[in-house]
Amino acid sequence: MDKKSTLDHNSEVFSRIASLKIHTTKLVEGLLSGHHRSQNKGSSVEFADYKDYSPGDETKHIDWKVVGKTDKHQIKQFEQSTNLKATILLDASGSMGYESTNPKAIKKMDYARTLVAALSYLFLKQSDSVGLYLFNETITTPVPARSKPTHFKHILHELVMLTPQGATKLESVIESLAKQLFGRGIIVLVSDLLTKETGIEKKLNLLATRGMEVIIFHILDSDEVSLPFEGDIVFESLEDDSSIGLNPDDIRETYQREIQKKIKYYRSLCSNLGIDYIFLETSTPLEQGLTYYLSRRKNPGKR
Amino acid sequence: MSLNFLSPLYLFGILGIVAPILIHLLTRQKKKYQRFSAVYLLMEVKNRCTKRSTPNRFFLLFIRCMAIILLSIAMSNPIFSFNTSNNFATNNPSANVFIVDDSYSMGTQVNQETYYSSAVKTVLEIIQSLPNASIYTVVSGSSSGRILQEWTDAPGKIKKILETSQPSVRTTDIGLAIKQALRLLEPVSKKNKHIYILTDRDRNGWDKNYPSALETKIEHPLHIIDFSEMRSGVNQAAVTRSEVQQEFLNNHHIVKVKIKVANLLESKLIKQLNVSLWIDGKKKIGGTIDIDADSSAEKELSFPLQSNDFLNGEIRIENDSLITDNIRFFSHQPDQTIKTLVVDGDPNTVEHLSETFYLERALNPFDSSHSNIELTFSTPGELSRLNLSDYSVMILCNLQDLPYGYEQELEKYSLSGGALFITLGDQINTKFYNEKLGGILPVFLKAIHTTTKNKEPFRFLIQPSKHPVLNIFKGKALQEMKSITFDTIYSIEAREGTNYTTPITFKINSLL
Repeated sequence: MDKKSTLDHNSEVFSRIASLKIHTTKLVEGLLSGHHRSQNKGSSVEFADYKDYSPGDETKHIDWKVVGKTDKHQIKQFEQSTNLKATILLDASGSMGYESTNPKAIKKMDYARTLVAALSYLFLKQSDSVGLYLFNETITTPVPARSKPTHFKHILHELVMLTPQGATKLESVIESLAKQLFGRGIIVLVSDLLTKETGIEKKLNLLATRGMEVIIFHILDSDEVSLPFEGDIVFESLEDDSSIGLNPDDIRETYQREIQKKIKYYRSLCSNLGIDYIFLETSTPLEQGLTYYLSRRKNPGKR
Repeated sequence: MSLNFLSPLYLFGILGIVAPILIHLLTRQKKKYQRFSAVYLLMEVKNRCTKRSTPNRFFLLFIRCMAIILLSIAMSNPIFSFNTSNNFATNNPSANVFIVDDSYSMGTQVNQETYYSSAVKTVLEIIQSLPNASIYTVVSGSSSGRILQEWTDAPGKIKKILETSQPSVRTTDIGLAIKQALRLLEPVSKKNKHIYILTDRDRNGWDKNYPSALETKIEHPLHIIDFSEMRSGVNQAAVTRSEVQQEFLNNHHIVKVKIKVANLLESKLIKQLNVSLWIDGKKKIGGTIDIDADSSAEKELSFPLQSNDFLNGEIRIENDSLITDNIRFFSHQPDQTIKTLVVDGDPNTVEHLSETFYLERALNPFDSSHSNIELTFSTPGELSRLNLSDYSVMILCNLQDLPYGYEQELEKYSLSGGALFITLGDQINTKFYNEKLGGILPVFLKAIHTTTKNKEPFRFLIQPSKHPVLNIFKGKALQEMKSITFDTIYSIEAREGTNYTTPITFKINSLL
């Protein structure tokens, strides 16, 4: 199944997700009339455009004159109502290219692409600007944030063209990104977090303390969690590690404990830093994961 | 330390290590490769883990090969000698007494070789490894304790004596043999003195302390080589007795061999044990025998005598670990005499007046040593004490009658093949003969006919006849029969349904 058809396949996901809004917990300057409360109160807003009313939109923004004329429910869009800037960091390192031994299972990269596309669509649907940064050791493909609906195609294009390769150097990427991004916004990190780096905590703290809302989607394949392989196998790294020959039966239990420990570490770390952390196994239906997350965002008290 | 092997052929089993090597090579699995995202994590975990689910294949191969090698060595019965006064490490000549157990049990066979022959081979191998100028002697380990070979330094003499010797039927007496060995060693000047005992230890009744008790008394190194460990089978049965009898009842003389076989197993019944009788190297007859545990059973095997030649026979049973007791030899000179019972129906104190006087003279005209006919005389009253089957021929001479019911014995005798002659005379009870001997006699006795002095006596009518009895009387003998005269004869009448032949009749016109 090619990547485009994967996205097409998830259009149902988009339509479900589109009924929910992403609400930020942090105050956004600017426009009260915007969908998001701006931190900059009193700033003027200019009418920008109409958009079709979709369920969940504020009914007070419905332009009744247009309704009277056209019988269509249209909402006024103001410039500063689009002041949420979402930056999606997608891990494009070699480890994201892992393909499960189960031929029916979705590949990790496809899962991540779908997730990123869903999120992009959601943001754009809500007239938020979305930028996409693909990274491995460095940021390889920056797609600056835009809010036009047509920007979605650009994002999709980069997603489709992406080939996972290279090592994961999350710390330097986050640091680099932190220097580039200004203002408030959302940073969504989609990664398997399979890196030997030990200073991620500091870098994430850097992001969180700059007033940015950070969401981490930690994606792992079921094989990476359970290590189901049997017999004597030579494991070859998808990144720059050397190969190792062993019998998984000998280390399975310890490995599983180690992976669970890492997940627990990141969950705890993110909780301490006020970062939203979602762990998704590729065997978990994507809509289930996103729906769960978005429900949480709608009810922040239930975190 | 020296190492010898009692069954060196088993060492070829070491070649069996080819099997695990082949298995190792053929079951090598093609390496599987898997691209994985968290190899660094696998490395970290592997370094911390010590568990290994399957042992190293090379280690397994090593273990399997060692198992085969050690098994082959164990089965080849290695003999280690750890003596401190090392006979072989130095070049000093030694004096060696070999006590070779030649008792009955050393005939136990394992893989076509007896303990004894293995012991002989071992002695010769040990001699070969001794330093030059060593001397040796051989003492019997059985009850005689005799010296089989005096001191010699020539291995060839030992070889000759031992290779032509066999286990005896005597029991073991190692103690006596050791005393003999010590006596032999005493005057020897050589410093290195050794005693070797080659025996089947578990048959000697040695208790656990015996060897150590021995060694404390003996100054010289004592090497005990135990062949009973070679045993792979059990001595199940043995032929314990054989008795040869000859049956004389009928013309086909039968030789009967009665054998007794013992079951040596304490708690196991032997079923269908094959027994066979061999004469002059050829199997004559066979059968089977069942024997309860720890008991004996008898069986009789018989065969007809083809000739009067001396018989050399064997009784054989199925082979087990000890072959020597599975064969029992016998010999028999067939008895060529014709045992004849003569019953005198009218005994007389005056010898020549007895019915049997002339008969005896006729049957044994010369010394009895020249005659094949062995006569036994009896009276009717003594008949019941005799066993008719001991006689090939029975002659009833002028018997009036027989003891009550004896006619049945007579009939049985006759039907068993016994030859019965009845001579008539003045004592005959015609009614008895006609009524009671109907089963034997094919004719009725009708009337007595007597001739007088004036009349022609009764004579035989000699005519050409094909009756086999008359084959004996030929030429002059036949003519002399014409001169025999009778003054009284019986006329007879055939019984209905009988079939008989008459070799000769009387020449009396009125009676023919």
